[in-house]
Amino acid sequence: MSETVVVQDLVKVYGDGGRVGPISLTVRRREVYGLVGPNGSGKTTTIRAVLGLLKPTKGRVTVLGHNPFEKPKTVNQLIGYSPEIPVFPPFYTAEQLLTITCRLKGLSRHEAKQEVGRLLDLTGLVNHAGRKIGNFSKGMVQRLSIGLSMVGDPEILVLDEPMLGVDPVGRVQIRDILRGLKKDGKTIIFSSHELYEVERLADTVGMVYMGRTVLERAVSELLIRRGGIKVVAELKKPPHPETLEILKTLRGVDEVVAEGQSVTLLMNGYDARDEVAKILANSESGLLGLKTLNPTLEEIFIKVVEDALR
Amino acid sequence: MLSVNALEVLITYQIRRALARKRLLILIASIFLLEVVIYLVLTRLPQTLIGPLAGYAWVIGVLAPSTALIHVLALMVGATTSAEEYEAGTADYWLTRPITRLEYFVGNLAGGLAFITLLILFYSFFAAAISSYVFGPQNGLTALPATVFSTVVSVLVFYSLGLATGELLRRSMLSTILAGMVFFGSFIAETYLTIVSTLNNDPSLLDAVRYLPTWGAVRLASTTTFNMLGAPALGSVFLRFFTSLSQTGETAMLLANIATYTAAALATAWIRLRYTDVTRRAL
Repeated sequence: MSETVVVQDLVKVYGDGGRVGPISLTVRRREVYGLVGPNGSGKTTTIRAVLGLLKPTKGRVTVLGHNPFEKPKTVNQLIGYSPEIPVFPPFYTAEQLLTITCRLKGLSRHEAKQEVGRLLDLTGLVNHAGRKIGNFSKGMVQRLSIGLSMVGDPEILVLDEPMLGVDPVGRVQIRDILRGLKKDGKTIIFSSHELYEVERLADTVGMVYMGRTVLERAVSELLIRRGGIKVVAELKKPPHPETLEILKTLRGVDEVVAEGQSVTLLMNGYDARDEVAKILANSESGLLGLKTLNPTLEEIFIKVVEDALR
Repeated sequence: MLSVNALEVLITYQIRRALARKRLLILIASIFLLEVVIYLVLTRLPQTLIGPLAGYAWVIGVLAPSTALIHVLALMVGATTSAEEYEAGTADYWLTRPITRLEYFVGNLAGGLAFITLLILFYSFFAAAISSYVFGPQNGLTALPATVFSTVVSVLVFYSLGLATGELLRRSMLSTILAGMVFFGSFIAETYLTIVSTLNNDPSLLDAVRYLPTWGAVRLASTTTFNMLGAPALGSVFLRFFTSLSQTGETAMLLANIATYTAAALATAWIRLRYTDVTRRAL
């Protein structure tokens, strides 16, 4: 089975009338899946449904063929989870909590000892193993949380906003851990509203907005096709307003922004670079060069959302 | 099939968590303070009054908390055992590990109960030790295990009620207040009905008292103890309060009352946990 996690038309209606859905996503084996969307868009609801923490009002959620709400034990044996805001019993030390988690995952005493050592090392918490979690910094708790999610080498990792509230140094450490996991061929689902992180780590991205899936595509494909073409033209002189107006009327040109001696154009549905080059070269400003940029995931997301709202 | 491993982890966790709670520690301290005050008062009494009691002084220390204080503590432990897990967000940690909801429920239930049992054991042996030290050799100590056991059984009513309100509301303070209102409401209603019944010589009101949740909870330990101790202990004036409690109930009826309330509360808590979402931590 290449599909590990399938969410099909998930709808969740909360007691206070809040509604999320329909959300659909498919995560394949060894894939890093980035679930993106602004706060309150339904990312965490989706993740909690995958973990069996909430019962979908409508739709279907399966993890390697199992219904997580009905078989949470089976599913949680396969999944390692790190929550958006990790909270652990403050009176345990990192070592104690890792050991407990190993025991719950069914590891023997000897295996648990080795696993705790490995994870403390991996998360950079070796020197803090004996400290109570209540005294940990946010970044340390987040790293411990990721370590706990990796106990027993689960097949699937679900990380809800793993970079949330972590300082730059902590981010680099977490990013390194995730890169290592990706290299090891783990299936990872991680949510974020920071698209830069997703762009750097994910193979596939699922975009949710206002409780709905608005797009699901391979990141590479998305960056090339969906976002259109972004072109920066370097000029000898600042452009004349008439030239800018002409550029705006060109087929496929969505946006023209002039700043000093450069003009940025966003094209969609049609590649108008040749026409742009001709117009600018023949204009009073003169053309020094034309640079094509791929749009960032953030720009794509904004565009997808705008399309969805139309 | 429940995993022994998961249950052991959860029981240990709940005991440690209870010990980390200040509110509970204050209540525990007040139980031990009550013990000290009781024996301090008894030692100040004239020998003529204390004489017949001296051999059974342990009974007062062991039974005194079971009239109210231990039930208040039990409902607090019950209410916070589940509700605080949701409030703090630790329920997410446990329920995303390979444990079933039943294991989580039973583990938490047993953990809280284990904590209360340990406390009952401690203060009972504390009371027995002080009695022996202050009043000399104690009689009928063979009844002590039965007294301790029946106290543990009796706390089930308000422990389960606290657990159920905690699971239903998932707010520790609110559920403690609600369960506390049930306890004190029942206690007041029972006292009122008993007084009115005595004044009007109307035994039907006493029948109504039998359906209140405090009826079984408050009486079981004293009934069990005096059934075992028999006549000599009943003669003491200082034990009359407890014997008056024991005379109104038969053990089987008391157990039926306790079992009914406990089963109803636990079923409510379990249904809420099994069939509804795990509430997210309030951010």
